Amino acid sequence: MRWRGTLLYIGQRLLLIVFTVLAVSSIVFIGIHRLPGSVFVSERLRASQMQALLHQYGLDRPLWEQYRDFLLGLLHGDLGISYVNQGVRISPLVGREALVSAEVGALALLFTIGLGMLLGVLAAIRQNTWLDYLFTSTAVVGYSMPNFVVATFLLLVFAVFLQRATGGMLYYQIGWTGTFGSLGEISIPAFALGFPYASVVARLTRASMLEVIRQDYIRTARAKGLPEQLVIVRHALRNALIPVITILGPLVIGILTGSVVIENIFGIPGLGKEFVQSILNRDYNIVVGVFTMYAALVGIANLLVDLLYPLVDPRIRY
Amino acid sequence: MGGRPIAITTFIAEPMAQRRAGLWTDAWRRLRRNRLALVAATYLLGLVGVAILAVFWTPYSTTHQGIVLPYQGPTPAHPLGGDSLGRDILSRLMEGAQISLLVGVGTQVVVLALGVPLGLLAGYFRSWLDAALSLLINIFYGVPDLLVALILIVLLGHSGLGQIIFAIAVTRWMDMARLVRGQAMSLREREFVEAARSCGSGTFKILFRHLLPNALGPIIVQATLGIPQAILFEAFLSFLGLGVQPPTPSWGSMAADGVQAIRISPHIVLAPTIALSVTLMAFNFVGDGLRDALDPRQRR
Amino acid sequence: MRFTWRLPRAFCVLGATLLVAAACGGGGGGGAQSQRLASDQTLRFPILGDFTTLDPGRLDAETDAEVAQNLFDGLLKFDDNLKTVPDIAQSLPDVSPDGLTYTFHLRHDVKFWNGDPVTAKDVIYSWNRGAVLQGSYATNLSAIEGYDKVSKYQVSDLGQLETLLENHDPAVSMSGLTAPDGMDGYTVQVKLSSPAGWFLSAIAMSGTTGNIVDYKAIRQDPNNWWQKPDLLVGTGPYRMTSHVVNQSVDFQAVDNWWGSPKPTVKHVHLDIINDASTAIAAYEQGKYDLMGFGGYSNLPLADVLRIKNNPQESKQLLLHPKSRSYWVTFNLVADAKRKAKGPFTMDAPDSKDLRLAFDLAVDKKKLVSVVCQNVLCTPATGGVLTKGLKGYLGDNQDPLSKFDPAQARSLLKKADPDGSKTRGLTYVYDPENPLNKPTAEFLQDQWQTNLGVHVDIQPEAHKQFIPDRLAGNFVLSRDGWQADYDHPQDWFDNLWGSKLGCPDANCSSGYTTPAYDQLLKKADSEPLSQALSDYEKLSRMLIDDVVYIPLYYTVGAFLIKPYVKGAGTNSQFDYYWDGYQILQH
Repeated sequence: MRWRGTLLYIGQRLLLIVFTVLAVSSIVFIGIHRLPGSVFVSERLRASQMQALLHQYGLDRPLWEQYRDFLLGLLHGDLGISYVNQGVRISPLVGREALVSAEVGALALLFTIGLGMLLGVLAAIRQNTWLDYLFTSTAVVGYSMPNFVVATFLLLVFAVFLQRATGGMLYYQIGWTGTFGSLGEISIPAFALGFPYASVVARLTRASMLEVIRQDYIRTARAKGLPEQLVIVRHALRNALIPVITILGPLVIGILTGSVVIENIFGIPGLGKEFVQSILNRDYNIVVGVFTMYAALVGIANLLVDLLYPLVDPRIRY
Repeated sequence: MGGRPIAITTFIAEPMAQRRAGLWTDAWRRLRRNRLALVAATYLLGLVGVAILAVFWTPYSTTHQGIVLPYQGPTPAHPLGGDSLGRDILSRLMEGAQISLLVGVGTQVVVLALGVPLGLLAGYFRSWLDAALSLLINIFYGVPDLLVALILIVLLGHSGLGQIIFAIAVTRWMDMARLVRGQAMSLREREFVEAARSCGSGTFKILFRHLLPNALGPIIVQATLGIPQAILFEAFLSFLGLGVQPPTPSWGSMAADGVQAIRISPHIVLAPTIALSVTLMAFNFVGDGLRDALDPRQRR
Repeated sequence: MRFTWRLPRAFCVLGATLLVAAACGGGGGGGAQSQRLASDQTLRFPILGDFTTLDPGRLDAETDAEVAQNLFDGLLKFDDNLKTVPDIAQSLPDVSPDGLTYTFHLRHDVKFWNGDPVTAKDVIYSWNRGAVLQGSYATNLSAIEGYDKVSKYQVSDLGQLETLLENHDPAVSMSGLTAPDGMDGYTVQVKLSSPAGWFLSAIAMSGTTGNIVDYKAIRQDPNNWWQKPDLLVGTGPYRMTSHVVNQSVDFQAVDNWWGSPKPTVKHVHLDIINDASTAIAAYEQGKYDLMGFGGYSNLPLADVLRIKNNPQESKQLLLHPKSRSYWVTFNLVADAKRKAKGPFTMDAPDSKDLRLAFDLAVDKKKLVSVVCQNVLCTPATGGVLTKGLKGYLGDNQDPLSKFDPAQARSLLKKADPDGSKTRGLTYVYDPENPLNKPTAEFLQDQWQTNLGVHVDIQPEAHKQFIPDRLAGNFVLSRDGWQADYDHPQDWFDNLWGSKLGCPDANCSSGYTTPAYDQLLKKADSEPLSQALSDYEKLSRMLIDDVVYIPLYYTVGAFLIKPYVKGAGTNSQFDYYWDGYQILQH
């Protein structure tokens, strides 16, 4: 049965994800404890007071003992408590933030692929016209600037200038309400997140469309008298999609990395915002929690991407 | 790989020199016709010149504060204006070129050093070497690159240029390894390899004198196209406060510092950003040009 | 994108103005801020990081204190003008002639917001708890007899601790705390182990150890009570109603609050936004009513300059000096524990001249004009204690604040003729505060230009920087201090001297001399009026020994919308929320 192979494949990949997550958690756990500095630190805290605090939280126990407790907790899905936000349970916190990041990331991915493919296709069918040059150069520019510059610029344009220009009628409202935000609040950050990668997708789509258009079966379709639109969409696009799927993996990882910057700049309560702060804060458990979540998200995203292949290219099978 | 533009008289292992001459001169000819790539390459050479010049001379000191009015815009005396501490931006931009180029090229050197041997071994020998490498690659792919870079930088101590280059390279070597592996796998089936083996050539000789030169084309393209990513990653690290340490200017850290003043003095962030943009585009164009030139399937 | 069909706000103002203009028959009076109260008394402002804790027994961070001061009260407090006034106590305490016994008479009408009345038992419980938990400010209680013993108690189970505290177990009870009228009475007597002129200032400090907490609430969840709105019980005018970690916090005014002024603002909403510039942009969009409050008054310089230069917005900008000083500290001691050594240690020959050389080579006025644009800080010319505090030496009274490159160079030549001592030096700093990095770069530039000495600058994450500095792992380091209360003891007890633990523990510079210790002990025991001259002598000791390079005193930047009345700040903390009002806008 066709499905058996797929299920087996999914099983293998899930196992790999679990293994990777465990490995990442352990490495980060040990690494962060080895980092110089301590989580309980302040200019006023005397050494004796710090010792008392460490003792209260069990942080003065030998590392292997703490690691053992950590593993036990991890197997129950309990990532422990935060030391910087004292007493806060990490699993629900990181879980909620992961959802937020995934939400923005997914929308960003849609932007990237949608916008990128649109630009690429348009550039391809109007090859070597001014439209082509316009699109390709816009794409390249977006891809070769640091993402924090692009993000800050977009924030200014949509939050500040737009508000002034339309007298407060239409603008992007900075902030995040509730757990999932509102569509207006997600849209601009998602766009900022996806925009740099849209250019990569555009270039790839354009190149592969150009190749596909030259193929014989396209000529046949045209010769049959099919309308141009149908030709493009039904035949050419489907095959041009394949290389895009190839880079989907690195794309997801890029978006995840980019979210660290975007979430900080747009004030979005996701994993990215948590990420750097927790390392700087030496908040051991949160660091481990964030990295664990990241590893899991990346693994699942990669798996989903790989499962997309057979849908687009029936030659691929597991 | 498609057919090579070389005569197929390969039951005898031909001297490498002659074959190489055929491939490379063809490529060079095609490259010369690509105007965009040529312009880009010229720009890059100019940039290298500026970077070298900056070692000996810049219009003003790159660290002396207050020689311009802080946040001052471009003036005839200071064509790019002053940054938030009153330092001359043009001078810092020139010195920053050094860091960006060093990071970009240095990263790729390490990537080559890591990815090429591993890829060759895995692709040529297959068997457990290949499986081990694939597992390693998968694990590295499964871990976000930011994480790896962060841990390395923190573990290796305060981020000097060497640590940053190594940290970035460690997150990028996989693509190169996969590419080289693919090349090795397809090339090992070729006749000239079999011929070489039947002549009694040792393994390393086959790898480095026969396989590698033939795979060199895509490797060079991949390395060139990887430079922009590395430079951008350094900018990202600077934004997080983990890039090159002050007062050494890198375009990334100049942009990170300047982005805060974007509303009152946009030139502070624009100067390094435009420099980055143009340079990265140049690398991209050169890389594309190399790829087109070396790809024998092109009918030009 | 937000389709502000609620945009009618813009139209409303326009429409209302037109109506008013029409009704008044034109003429002046347009645009003046209405004095009527808004119907929606909700205050909104952003903070840049979530709390560490709101438990008074553990509080440390500025944000925590700024919020907690509205949730909890102590026996005394500093009012908005920094005057020590009674809070839960009826009046200032009776002090015995020998200065050892303080008797507090509590008000009879103080209640926690859940209805529990406050009696002597709660005060004694709260203070003992603070002493045991050993938070950063437990030392506020250190003058009390019995503190030394209680502070050494090892806590491993918070639940067990609660039982011990409630039962007044001697292991966790300071012997100096008694209730002459019984635990249900309203009198608390405090006996000190030795006279301490700073005791009242320390316990008046808001939002910290010394504030009164409700054992009936804490015992229900000793580990996490402050996270739960039902259990975060205090005597203040506000209580927490919801907390989404790292996202937002909400507070509600307490009905029938016992104190005064009765809160007008009914609801306070805080959002947590990491990036200061983004928060300012959101404030300008109209999403927030205040900015810089809640402990985040170190706004980015570029934004402050921009707003300052905008005629309309600059009216909303409030710049107020904070009691915070910054200086450069030398490693003055090298021993078995402090391994960093360096050429500045006091036992090294000519080290004082070397320190002085490095000090005089820094142009402090230029520093302030380049790094702070003369807006966010002022030169520290009157000693380590910030201007405005008691113990400030006076403008330009600190000879270490001078800039004299010529003398600096001659001192350097004398102290280090072949340049061997000043090779390979490093100045360490933490990028925590946006001013630290440019300051470090400036210092490096100054030493290079004016002395010809190259000093590396090295950033360290705050959590690593502080323990390293306190352990003496540096040669040159950024240092600073924010006054917790207006009494010089806060500085001299916590920065230098063997009482603190110098040279080997808790001590950045490592500085301590027998003369210093002796004089400090004397000064701490005297009432402030007598002690001031002694504290001044201590300042002079630091100057004579060239213990530091003074840099600047910081200025906090705040943004206040014109329709928020009563909001403001002093040099220590934001005004209490119960005095704010939201006008119609």
